[in-house]
Amino acid sequence: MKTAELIDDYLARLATAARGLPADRRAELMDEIREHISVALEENPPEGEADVRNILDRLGPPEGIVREAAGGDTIAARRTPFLQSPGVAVVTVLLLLAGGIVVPLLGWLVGVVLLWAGGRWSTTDRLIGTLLWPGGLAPAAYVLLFATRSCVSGPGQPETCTGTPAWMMGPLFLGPALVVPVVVAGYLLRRAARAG
Amino acid sequence: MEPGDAQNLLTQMRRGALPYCVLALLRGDPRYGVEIVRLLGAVEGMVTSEGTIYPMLARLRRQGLVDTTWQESASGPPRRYYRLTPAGRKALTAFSAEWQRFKDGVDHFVKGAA
Repeated sequence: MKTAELIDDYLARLATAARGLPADRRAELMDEIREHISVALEENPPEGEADVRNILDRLGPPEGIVREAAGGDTIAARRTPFLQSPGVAVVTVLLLLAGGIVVPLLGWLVGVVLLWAGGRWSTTDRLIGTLLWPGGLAPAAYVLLFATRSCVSGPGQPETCTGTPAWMMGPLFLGPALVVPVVVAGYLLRRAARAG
Repeated sequence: MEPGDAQNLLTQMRRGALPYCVLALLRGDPRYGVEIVRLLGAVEGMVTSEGTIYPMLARLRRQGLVDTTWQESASGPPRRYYRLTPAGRKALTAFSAEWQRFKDGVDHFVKGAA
């Protein structure tokens, strides 16, 4: 039915335009506009597509409604829209994953700061992103690139080894250290996309 | 001062006064969204985009000037009804007095009494 499509289309445009709003305000706005449309349709049952178009035209462009919802209330705005943008989300995940390789520790820490400052993740997501896996891929990368281990043994003496501990160079460490950050990165990206 | 300035000024004034018009509409019985929008729309030029009334109502709610209740409707989905809070009533009274003073002041010059 064309009228249902018109309404769904309008609500989809509204949802997209409202991406920058805090989640609770966005949900509230969507509910109220949806209620307006259904009440308006109930009071004046539409006789055709034109009637439905009329209701939506009188509501006005979704972008204008969102602008009204965003403005005039500087105290209540919790986060800057920039930190909620999808580009920043991608950069955050990249820094968490590989920032520690490029700039040891600091690169990853910047990713952690952005993870917690950005508006797109729940606290659970952020804890996952921080604790699994600390340093991202950097620890595994450093072991693979720079780990050396030399062992000396003499007759009648136990083998003594210096350098990277053996357990760190083995698959039980390297396996998860490589796989978990990548999996968590994908998870964070998917959660960020769904929040938008 | 450009000739177009009057238009801009009136747009701004309308934006400023509109929330108080909404408060005034809620002086009596609680009203629901579509009803408020329809009553505002009865005066030409008050509302260009009906949808913008809802963020305004949400803002009034956040400021504690209106609150909302849900009421079942006989034939359709439940509706959100808006009504004034005591703070809202006070704000409306204060605006009423200021508006009257302002209107009289401007009229004094524009209507040529001076």
